[in-house]
Amino acid sequence: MTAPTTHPLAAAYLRDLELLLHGVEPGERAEVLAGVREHLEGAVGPGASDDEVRAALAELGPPQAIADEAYAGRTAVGPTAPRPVPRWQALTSCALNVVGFALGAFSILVASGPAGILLRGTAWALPWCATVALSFMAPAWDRRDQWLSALIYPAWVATSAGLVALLTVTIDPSVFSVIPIVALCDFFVWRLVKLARAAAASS
Amino acid sequence: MVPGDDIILTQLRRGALEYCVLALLEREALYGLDIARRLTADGVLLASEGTLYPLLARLRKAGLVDTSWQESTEGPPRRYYALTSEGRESLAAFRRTWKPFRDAVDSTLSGGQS
Repeated sequence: MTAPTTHPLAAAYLRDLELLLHGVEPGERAEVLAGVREHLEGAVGPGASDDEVRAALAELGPPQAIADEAYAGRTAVGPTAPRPVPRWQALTSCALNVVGFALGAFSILVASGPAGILLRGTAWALPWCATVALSFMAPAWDRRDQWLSALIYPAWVATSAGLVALLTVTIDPSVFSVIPIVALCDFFVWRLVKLARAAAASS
Repeated sequence: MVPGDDIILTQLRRGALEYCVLALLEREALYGLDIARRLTADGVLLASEGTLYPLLARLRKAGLVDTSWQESTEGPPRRYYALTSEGRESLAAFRRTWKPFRDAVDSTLSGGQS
């Protein structure tokens, strides 16, 4: 006398079903398996013959049909569920951009004029190339954010050099020139924060 | 059966079968095998008995049915499915919608034949 669900045919059927339900949310998977197991226990008595078990399994239908119905319920977490979007490309780009931004801000303080800022800016050329590549590889960002991340460093260097040049010819270096520079810094910090948020929110 | 009948039936069942299950549970709580046997009796509503179980899990998750264990005279305790008040409302809503829908389909189909 063996319980119907330990009959080799029934056990193989349940094993197949369990594998096919792998992508279904665990609670639902357990519920479906328990239902089918209980169904089998009710349909064939203990010590049933191979033919009886076979007939009961035929009435249950192929495990694939059950799995299809389970996936049609759209609570799947496996193959049909959205995979988590990799974020490392976007986050690394953000980190590189922050370092580039900090270096640019430092050059404004120490470089002598706009030419100096541009020249110092080229020192970050190699990491910037990596930033460009990573930005366009980042699935966590949409196209617009990818462009923004790729171009924010040269934009920062160019606008800061341009602003310093403009201030030099208009108001001459004075305490007042700090205000537009700080405003420009704020703008770029705000853009960087938005990019980082977009990357972090994409999971 | 002409090829294609199966596909049409599968699609039609998808919308209606869960309400048929709710209707079966309207008067009394039933266990899985019992529901499956009643639905396969005509060979139309349910093709493979096993597909009932994902459907029951879905109905329970949606709060339309509730489960409880009851002792059985022949074997281990059974999981009985019963209609919740939401299930009752859902069934009533389906009944309201079904008749005009069925009439519209019937009249359109017979109109197409003449």
